[in-house]
Amino acid sequence: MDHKEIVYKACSDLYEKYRSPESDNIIEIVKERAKNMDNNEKSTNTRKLVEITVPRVEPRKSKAPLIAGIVGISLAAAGLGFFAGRLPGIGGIDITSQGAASHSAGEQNTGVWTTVKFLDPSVNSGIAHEDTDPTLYRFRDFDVRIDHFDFDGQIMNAHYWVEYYGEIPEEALGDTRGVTVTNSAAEPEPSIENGSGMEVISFARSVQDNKVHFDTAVRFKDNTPIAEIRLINSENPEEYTEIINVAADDEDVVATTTAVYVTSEEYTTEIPETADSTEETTVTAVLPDMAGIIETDEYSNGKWFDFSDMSVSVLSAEYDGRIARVDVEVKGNDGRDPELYLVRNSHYESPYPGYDEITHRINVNDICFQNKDGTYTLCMLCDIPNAESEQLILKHLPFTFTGGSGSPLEDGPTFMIRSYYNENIRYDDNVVDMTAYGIPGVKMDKVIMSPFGLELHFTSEEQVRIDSTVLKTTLTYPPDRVVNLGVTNTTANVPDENGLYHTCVIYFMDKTTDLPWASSISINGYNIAPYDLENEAVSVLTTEDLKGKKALSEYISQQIAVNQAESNHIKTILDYYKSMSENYQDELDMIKASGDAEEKAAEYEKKIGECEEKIGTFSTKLNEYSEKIAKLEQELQEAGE
Amino acid sequence: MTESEFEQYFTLYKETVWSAAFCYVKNAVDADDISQEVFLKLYTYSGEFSGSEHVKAWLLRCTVNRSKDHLRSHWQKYSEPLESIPEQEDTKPGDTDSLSEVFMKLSRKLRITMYLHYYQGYSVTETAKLLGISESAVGVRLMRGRKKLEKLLSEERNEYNGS
Repeated sequence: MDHKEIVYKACSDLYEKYRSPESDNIIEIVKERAKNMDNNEKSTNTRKLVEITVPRVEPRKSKAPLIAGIVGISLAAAGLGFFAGRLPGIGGIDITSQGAASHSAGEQNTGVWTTVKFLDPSVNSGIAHEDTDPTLYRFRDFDVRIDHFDFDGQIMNAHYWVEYYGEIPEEALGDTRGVTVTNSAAEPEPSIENGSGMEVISFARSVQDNKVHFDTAVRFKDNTPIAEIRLINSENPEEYTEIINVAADDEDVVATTTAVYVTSEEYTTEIPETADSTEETTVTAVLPDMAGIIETDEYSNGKWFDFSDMSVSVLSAEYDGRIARVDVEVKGNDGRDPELYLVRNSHYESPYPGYDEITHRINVNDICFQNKDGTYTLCMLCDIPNAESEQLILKHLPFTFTGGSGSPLEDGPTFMIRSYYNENIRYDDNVVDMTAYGIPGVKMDKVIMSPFGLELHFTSEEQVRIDSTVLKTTLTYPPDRVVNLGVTNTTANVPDENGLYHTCVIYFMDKTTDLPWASSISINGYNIAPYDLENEAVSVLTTEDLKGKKALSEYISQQIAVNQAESNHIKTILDYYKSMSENYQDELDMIKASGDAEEKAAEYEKKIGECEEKIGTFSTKLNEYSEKIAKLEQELQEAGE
Repeated sequence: MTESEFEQYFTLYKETVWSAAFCYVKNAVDADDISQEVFLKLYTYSGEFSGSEHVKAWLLRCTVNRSKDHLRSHWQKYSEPLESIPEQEDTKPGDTDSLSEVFMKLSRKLRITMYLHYYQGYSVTETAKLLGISESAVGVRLMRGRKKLEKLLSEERNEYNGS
């Protein structure tokens, strides 16, 4: 049986099998309740657009920066310009873009180069490779020496050297050779090569003597908090490293365990020694659902925007609260690598930095693309943390530009990012003195269910280490199952202007799966109810809604026109009967004046009576239509607001 | 909506609405309550529908929203696991009864997503709209659901063979 068949069979008799005795009476109950309802309670709207505006998450305050989820990637100060790479394979990159062409075997990494790094490795939520020391893997023709891996559950940044025993063969810098990454933790095992589940979002390679240094960011699409990595010699796939575990987790914890322990439903292992318990723990780690939308200007939906020397079409744009992604297709570039920038408008002060210096962080994270019938498809990512609303502009560097000062970048389509989160994410306003709960001198300011998980915010007058060694946080599920939560991340103590230190501890948690089934959360014995933490359904005014709003206005306008036409028609009929009634009345008056033909007079009176009846009926109808039109006009006004 | 129209739609979609609610809340009594609310909404709704499929989608969207609301409001009085599914005896792996039980062991997010996509036949895009989530989220849920379902069925087969 395939999945469809299984689900179909499973669901085919849910009603018959599980319904209660009351289920059969629903229709009677509904009718009865409807009768008892006050008329005012009944819906009167023909269609109501549900539009809930909710404030977005407040940007993180500097006094308590959050480390989880920070996947800030910026252009490193050491490098300028863009690297233009080509999938597949880490090694399968063609160094042909402007500024990068000068690199070849034996040259130092100087000049135009792009390096993609996390904002601050010391507070990077993602950690690491299970070994703290650099690891060497030996292949037939080269060694791979791993400096380190950063991983935040979504993006892994890999830094490693490939050191050849002899001279670097020319092919090693070509398209097909090098090292490929696979993630055996995913099902089916995806690799960059097959493109499923993983994608390279940035790539940089530098050469020094007989060594090639790789600096690569890979995005895991399934948002797993763990990854099992193999490096495979793409020249000889038989050669590959052992599995290298990387985990998005607290540094200390990872250092004390050899197993990946942050788990989803599928992964369950023991919690590390540093935690308070050796019980089995299960923590579900998921990233939040889409938290934002991107509205493009008119240059979307298959329309082409013309730059001076090529054109782009916006294929898609999305924003998940952290990373904005815009896919575009390029044509008319005549085989040249298009140099495009996705720029955060509010942060973009220097129009173009030139090749000699970067004067401003431009927040362009990456371009990755692939050949497609002589054209390019580009995926551009821009880090916009904290679900900020922001304007992005697509910019292009003309092919004719060869360097120097000035501002040659051309502006392209713009994108407006809007993020919406529910205000009720915030939960507990109580400040709890944790002295009574085993952490002297520390106050717990608040507990938040944020897109990153369960956040506990602490304040103290002195620097205090608050981590899994002093915190025991559990979820209790009815009737008596207790689940320990493993600390996912802990910020350092950050002092504020008042000398108070702030720390935030974060647990990965699914706001829609984990919390609703728990009856309480306990933090070192301080109990809170999870209900208040449950993130009210994130209400997102989606692009569809916006489209729907426009469609609704059009729909109502059409309805008004239809009703107006009907009303006009009825008015014509009404006027006809009024006119006929007057005619009959004149005839009747004349008959009565002549003093004869009583029978005829009676006939006319009857006709007048029929006309009056029609007039009454159509007058009522006309009123109904007038009311209906007035109501529609009111709705149209509301829909337009 | 006239009474006869309402009755017609009720007959057509009572199982759909009830089952969707049940997938969400996993409790027959709660599913009854939600069905009542949803059909009451339909009964008092004076808007127009473009056809029965429109009514169905409207009802399912209401059901999903109402189920979410219900779970939230249910919290304060919640003291027991929402398990109203008695274990069936003498079921063989692959039986419809057995499959239902396994299916109901999935998390509610996975259940409702799979129910709408695989059972009601909505596309990923339509399912995403009904649930108010992104298409990629639907894709992830379906993938996780399939994986979890396979695992549960495999465990069940092993248990059955072992006994």
